Amino acid sequence: MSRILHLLWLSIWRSSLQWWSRRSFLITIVIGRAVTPLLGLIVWSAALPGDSAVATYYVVLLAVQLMTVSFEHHTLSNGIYAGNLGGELLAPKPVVIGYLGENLALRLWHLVFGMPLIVLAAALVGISVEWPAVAMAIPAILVAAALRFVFTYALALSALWTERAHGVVGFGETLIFLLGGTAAPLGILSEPLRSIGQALPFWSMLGMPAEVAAGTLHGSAIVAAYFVQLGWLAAGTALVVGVWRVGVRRFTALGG
Amino acid sequence: MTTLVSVHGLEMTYRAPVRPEGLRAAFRALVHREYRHIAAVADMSFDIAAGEVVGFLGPNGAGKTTTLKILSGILHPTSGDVRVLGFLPSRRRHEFLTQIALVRGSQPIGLPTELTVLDSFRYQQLLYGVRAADYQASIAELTEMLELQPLLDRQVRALSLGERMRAGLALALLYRPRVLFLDEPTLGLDVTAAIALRRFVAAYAARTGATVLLTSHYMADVQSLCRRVVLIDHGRLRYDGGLDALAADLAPYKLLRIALADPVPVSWEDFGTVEESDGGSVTLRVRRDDAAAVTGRLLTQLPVVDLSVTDPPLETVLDRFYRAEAK
Amino acid sequence: MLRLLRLFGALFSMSLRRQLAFRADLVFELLLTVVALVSSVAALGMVYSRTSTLGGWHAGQAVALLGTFQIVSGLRAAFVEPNIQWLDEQVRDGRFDPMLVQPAPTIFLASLSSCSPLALAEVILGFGVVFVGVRQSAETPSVMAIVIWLVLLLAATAIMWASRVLVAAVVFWALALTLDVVYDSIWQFARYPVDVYRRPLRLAMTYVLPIAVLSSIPASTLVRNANALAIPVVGGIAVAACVLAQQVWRLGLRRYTSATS
Repeated sequence: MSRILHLLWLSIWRSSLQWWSRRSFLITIVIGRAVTPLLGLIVWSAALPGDSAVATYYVVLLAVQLMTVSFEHHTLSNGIYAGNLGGELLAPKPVVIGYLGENLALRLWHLVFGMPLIVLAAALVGISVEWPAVAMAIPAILVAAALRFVFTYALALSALWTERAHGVVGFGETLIFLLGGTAAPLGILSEPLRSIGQALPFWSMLGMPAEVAAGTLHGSAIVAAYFVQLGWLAAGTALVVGVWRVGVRRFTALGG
Repeated sequence: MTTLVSVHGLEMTYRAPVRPEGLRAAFRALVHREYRHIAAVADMSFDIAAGEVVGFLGPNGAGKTTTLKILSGILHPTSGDVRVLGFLPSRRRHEFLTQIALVRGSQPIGLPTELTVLDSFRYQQLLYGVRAADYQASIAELTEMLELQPLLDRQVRALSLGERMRAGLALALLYRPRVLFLDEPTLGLDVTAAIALRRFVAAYAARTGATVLLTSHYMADVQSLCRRVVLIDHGRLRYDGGLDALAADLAPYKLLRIALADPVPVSWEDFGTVEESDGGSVTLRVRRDDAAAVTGRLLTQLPVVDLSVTDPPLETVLDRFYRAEAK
Repeated sequence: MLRLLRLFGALFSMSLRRQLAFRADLVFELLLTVVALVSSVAALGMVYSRTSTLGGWHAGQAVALLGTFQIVSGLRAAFVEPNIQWLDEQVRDGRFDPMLVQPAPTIFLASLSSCSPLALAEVILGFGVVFVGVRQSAETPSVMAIVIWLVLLLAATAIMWASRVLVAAVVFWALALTLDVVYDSIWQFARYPVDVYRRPLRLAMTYVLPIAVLSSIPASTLVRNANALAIPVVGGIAVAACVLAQQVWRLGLRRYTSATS
């Protein structure tokens, strides 16, 4: 176990350095990821002027978004297309470690380079956050980050079957946008849309931690949301392991 | 004979930023950038007449590809006169571009790679304004000579390097350019493919009278295609003339390989310098002028079973030459 | 010029033929386009479920604007992006050189020489969305308004091309800089009426970055007030933008041809 952790640490370190050397490109990527929450902020502030809760929610969402970004369609899928999987299967470490390391490194840099943006947005909007709520949200953010990785990784594995892995992951991203709390804060939607959205995994990946941190989710609702989150994480992990096994068997039989 | 390519006093110097070592120097470099000047091509002059097939030889980084880029208009020289077909290449006039072709061994096809080979031909036809009748004739001929029939329906990006090279050559010759620039055309090709390519280019040049400028580091390319060779090293022209004369010029000696019937103790130094000696045979190095005389003496004085007189392999000659120049 | 049009037409039909040959890809691509479209409209719907106006625009008007945006986006995805997104890599790899040797304007070859006709599905669906928006806004636009809208769409397309080429041309000066993602990010701001943005941003998007011109101004003509004056103004901007793009490209090429190895 400690060996795995050590390998993971090495992977994070190496990816961090690699991405630091491409920081000008990385900054453009961070901007790209920040656009949808920012647009949400602008549009909803214009739709509900004076509603500071919505504005706070979106600034927090921006932070959560940057902490949960996942690019496995670029790392894993492109790696499979480039023919790297064979080599990776031969290495004496689980293939996922490398991609997890890169994912974490990217999220770190997204937070670092995105911080000025978050601070600026917070200042301009004049948000009010309650630190107990933020503290309550931290585990949620961690679970959400794990869930989003698992989800994107599973979709990116479609590269083992199809040439359109980018489209598949893009479809997943669209669902996260629509039902995960970016297009509209789930709390604002009317029933039954809200309940359906809260039951689906997308909200657990993005909107739920943001709502906890912004303070729009209270008491038993938070507990329920945590259960849903953990449930989806377990289901998602099982799915990824299953898809991986099937995929690798197919790959080693067909040669990719 | 008309001079198609004329180059005089060509210079190409780039500025490359100096990346300093150490943190303090790096900060200083932020404010005050220093450059060093690299002369890729210096004081080069030559003329090429219509129908010639000229080989540009030289070690890596010598400036061969840079020269070709200048001649085709991709690079704008720092100074000097360049005229190809009477045009200034860097102006990239339409009339100029439709009469030249550049095929690079590293990426032979410069068109969108999702097109099929046949679609690429059609693209070239439209781009270069080839008349329908000429198009049909050329495409039939090129497809046959370069064996492109099985490739026609395949996407360019699905072809192997050898297939791309053949297709790239056909695409370039579709509009019958008067001047053909070939940059490392046999790069990465296997022996059969390389031989086939050389044969094709030689036949094409002989038949159509096109002027071909070829760069390569493979001696075989130049030996089989070119009678005239231009040797470039460190951006300067070292030699311009016939291929045979090159060997004589750079290495005025011949190699005599002798095999004796019985191992007789011989002091080879009386005949020439020993290059190699392995068991049954000995290779001697002898001055060109003395070669005939020494051969005669060997045949009369020793029990020779096998004797051959060869020119030193051009590769070895050039290798020695480059290394000497490098010092 | 005529020759370029013929070349463009031939490339279009070749690309179309090729994309139609892969049926599974076709269906998938179409599906993705529809999903993205539905998602944008749904997102707009979510906003309008809580308010009746957004920056002064009613639901139907905003939908018509979104449709206008999708038309120009589709044209960009079909004709410009398939080429221009590779420019920075090509310049770094040396794969840009062949374009210099071909007898056609390099700016054409680098920005329009291959296309993805499938992305035109977004254009067609965009027209559908505009139709829905117009119906929803309960005011039928006059024929003149429609004509002005179409002309402004054309101008918006030209401005899209010019701005995309300008941003990509940065590679001739700063080899390591790729601004494709930034361009796309700023592009997203044209989904919504420019009046949604607060004053400093709105001014920037009207007078500095051509965001307003891409969707707000043409849509405004169609569903708010038709103003024939928009044509010479926006048309003038379009021409100026194209000229600027050409000039900057020429300068960039001059730099490229004297600096590479």
